[in-house]
Amino acid sequence: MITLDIVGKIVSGDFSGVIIRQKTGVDLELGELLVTREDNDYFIMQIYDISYGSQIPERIRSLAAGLKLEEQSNLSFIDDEISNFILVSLKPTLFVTPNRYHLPKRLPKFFSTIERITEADIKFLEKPNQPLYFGKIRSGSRVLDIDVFLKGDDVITHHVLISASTGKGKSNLVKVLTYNLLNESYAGLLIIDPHDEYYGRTKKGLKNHPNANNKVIYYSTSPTPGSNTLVLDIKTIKPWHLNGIVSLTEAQLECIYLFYNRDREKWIENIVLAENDDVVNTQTLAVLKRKFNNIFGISSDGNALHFRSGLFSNNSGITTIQNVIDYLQNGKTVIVDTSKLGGEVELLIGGIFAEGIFSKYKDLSSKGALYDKPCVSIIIEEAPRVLGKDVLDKGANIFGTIAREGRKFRVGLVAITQLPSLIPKEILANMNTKIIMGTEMSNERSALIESSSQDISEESRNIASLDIGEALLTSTFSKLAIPLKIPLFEDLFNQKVPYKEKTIPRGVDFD
Amino acid sequence: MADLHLGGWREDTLREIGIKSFEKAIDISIEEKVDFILISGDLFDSSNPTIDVMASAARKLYQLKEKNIEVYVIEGSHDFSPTGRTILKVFQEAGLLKKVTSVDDVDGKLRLRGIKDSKTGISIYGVSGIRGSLEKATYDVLDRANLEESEGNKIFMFHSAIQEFKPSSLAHMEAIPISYLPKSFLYYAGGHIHDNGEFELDGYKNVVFPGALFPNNIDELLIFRGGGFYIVSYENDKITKKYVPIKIYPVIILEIPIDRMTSFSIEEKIKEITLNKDFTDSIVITKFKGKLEGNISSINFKKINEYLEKKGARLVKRDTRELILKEYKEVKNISFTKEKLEEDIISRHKDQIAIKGCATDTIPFVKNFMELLSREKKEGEKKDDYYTNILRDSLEYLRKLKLLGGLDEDNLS
Repeated sequence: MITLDIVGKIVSGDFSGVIIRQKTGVDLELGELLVTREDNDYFIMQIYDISYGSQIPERIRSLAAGLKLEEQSNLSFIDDEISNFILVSLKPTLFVTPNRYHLPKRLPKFFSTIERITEADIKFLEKPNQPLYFGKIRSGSRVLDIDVFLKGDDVITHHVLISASTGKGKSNLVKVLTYNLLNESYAGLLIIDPHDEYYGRTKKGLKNHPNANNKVIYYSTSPTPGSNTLVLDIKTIKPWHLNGIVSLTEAQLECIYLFYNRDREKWIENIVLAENDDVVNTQTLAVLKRKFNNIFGISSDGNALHFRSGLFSNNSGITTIQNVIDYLQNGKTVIVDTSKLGGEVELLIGGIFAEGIFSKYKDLSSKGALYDKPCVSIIIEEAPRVLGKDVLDKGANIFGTIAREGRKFRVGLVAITQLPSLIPKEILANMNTKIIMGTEMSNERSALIESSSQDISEESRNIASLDIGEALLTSTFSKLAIPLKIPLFEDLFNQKVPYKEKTIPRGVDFD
Repeated sequence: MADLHLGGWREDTLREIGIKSFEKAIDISIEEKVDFILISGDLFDSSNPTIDVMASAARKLYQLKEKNIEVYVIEGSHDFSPTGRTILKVFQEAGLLKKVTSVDDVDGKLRLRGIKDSKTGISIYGVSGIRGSLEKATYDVLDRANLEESEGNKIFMFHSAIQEFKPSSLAHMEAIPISYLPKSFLYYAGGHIHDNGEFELDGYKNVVFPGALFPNNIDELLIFRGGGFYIVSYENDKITKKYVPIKIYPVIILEIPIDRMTSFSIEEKIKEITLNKDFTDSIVITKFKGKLEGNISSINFKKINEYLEKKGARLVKRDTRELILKEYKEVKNISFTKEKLEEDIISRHKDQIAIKGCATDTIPFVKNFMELLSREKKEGEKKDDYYTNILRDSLEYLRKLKLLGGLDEDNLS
């Protein structure tokens, strides 16, 4: 008889929740995974609530507690451990047979023995082709030595939402996800990085991956030696790049398209340099000049253009957009440091690259060549800035378009946010994989629970209690919501690094 | 100057023009009384050029030496050799030029020594260019801080495309980011990009690509038609750059529309469009465009060349890339879906398989049967069950179509 780690027995419940009595001396935690066995099969269940149970009437218990508190009493109950106990509510999440596993369609047997889950119980979770690594399986706060992978191509193209309150480990999670993706060739990644934290300018980052030299491309307005300057030639900017990111009136849009249709790539330059235009209202022109000064940092200096910052230029960075698109469609990870840019400019830059790769992939799709290329994921922080209901109400932007249509063209979003409730429901529902980290606000939890791929309606309390680095993974591509423990990014470097051959400097003379 | 590619053309005439361009540039430099000359890579088209090419270059470099004009060079992707055995080394030993790429290894960092020009006091440093941008490995360990901190006026020579400054036509070219170069130099003398351009970005001012001194291939002849170099002056803390174009012979592009013409009518057409044109001492590129009736060999290029040479052309080159030959049939826009492709293949071969007494048409039969056989293993399905199920379903299908007559089904199973 196996009595490995018995923690309780089923005493009541129904399909929405199985109640077990916890064995004395055992401490079960919210979110913990338990199993109950039936011959060669077993159920996996997860704890979603814990409460007290007692056979002693309430008033007696209160009296006994009072006596113990107020008087020096040695009073105790007879068979205390039998009379007073802990009741644990479980949700059956999976039924596993030797050949397959699926959602449970019946209840485990009454009075069945409940055990703690072991690594052997979840060996059936295999590493798929094109794996995307998320972390290790967690049972309560206990971490099991089972790596969690889903098929990366599916997950990426069907969008990912990462949600957590501040300080719960979002950045660490994204670093772990992207670091592990550098081992793979099935996806290109565009990371819009408003905190300049992923490349690792001053500490460990993606640049320290053994494949970084071939796979990581870093753009910054203040580049480190060997990385690219983030500079765009204004001739490569198109009017539609401003859609939904820069607020423009009907008249301003008409003016922009008038110049664009007439002057093509010189439309920005000519608007900024225009003294007067017979067709366009002088005031509209003046407002546009002011807006362009704010966004692009361009003004006119007599008959010449004056650029306030190095981000936009009229003779540098003419291939930047093209190069970023090429890198992405060759499976590279492009990190764009936008830490020194204003919010609107940051989104404009991200939007320009996103539009470029989306258009490229649409074009590939029309030529039947879409599946010759890796899928592409765009990582965007504080996603409601571009996917928020109020933003999208003002007009569509490229990120909204990708959220709705990107899947067809193998371009996905990884939207990171603390406030998922600001994202419209239909877009949240399109995010087919959600990595939910600790979220205290109940309306945010509700938004996540309502739009999850699995029924996690009982997980609200569990989500609220998730600690740093703990997460719940729900996905269309997983049969169950998986509790996760995300490893610390810094710990990835404790693993053995493959030997790297020293490159020989050439083009100089050692006399 | 940069990208002279001396000895680069196969045709004697164009190779000579390359050398003449170099000679002319040197003559202008002497006339202009320059203090020194910078050659930012690819002086020669190979690390081991022919004797004639070497002799022409040596003669001109010696002339500069006599005039006390120093020549500072780096190697380019064409005249670099990993063995170090290059003609530049020979010329350096002979005192005809100075390479500025000497380094010391200081604690794993490469510290460029540089050369201080005795006339001007300007220090000149450089890193050669190598095919495939292999010089990146050098830039990775270059002691930039040391270069940036060293005092005085400094020039940096490099032979690499710069990512931020690449023209859109070279978007796919291997390039290095500008951040590899040390900041705050007076002037950055670039090579490798054959178009000329002047750039500025943050801490990098006066980044200049003079472009090739003479085009290096037919495309460059078509686009640039010539080349040039820069004469740069530095006075009162101000840099002035003057681009000096070099033109030995004019390049004339003769566009010849030949839509559905015969060989004879093409010759007549050329005569017609060149009637009043002067080709004296020019390089003529005949650019044929349109659909050609018949084979390309039906055009008498020799005769056309002779005709143009008679009109004074020094050299005639042809560009036939925009010719559409009749024998190349246009491919119709066929839908290349997997299903369509399969159907086409089955359709093409269906007459080769006679399925006796088959109750359904060959195409749907083959497609259905293939579908049955190519079903993937279901999740949780045992391997043995999978095989048995496939066999059972296939036999069932064949039985339904009455195609199992005479076969021992039990043995099949």
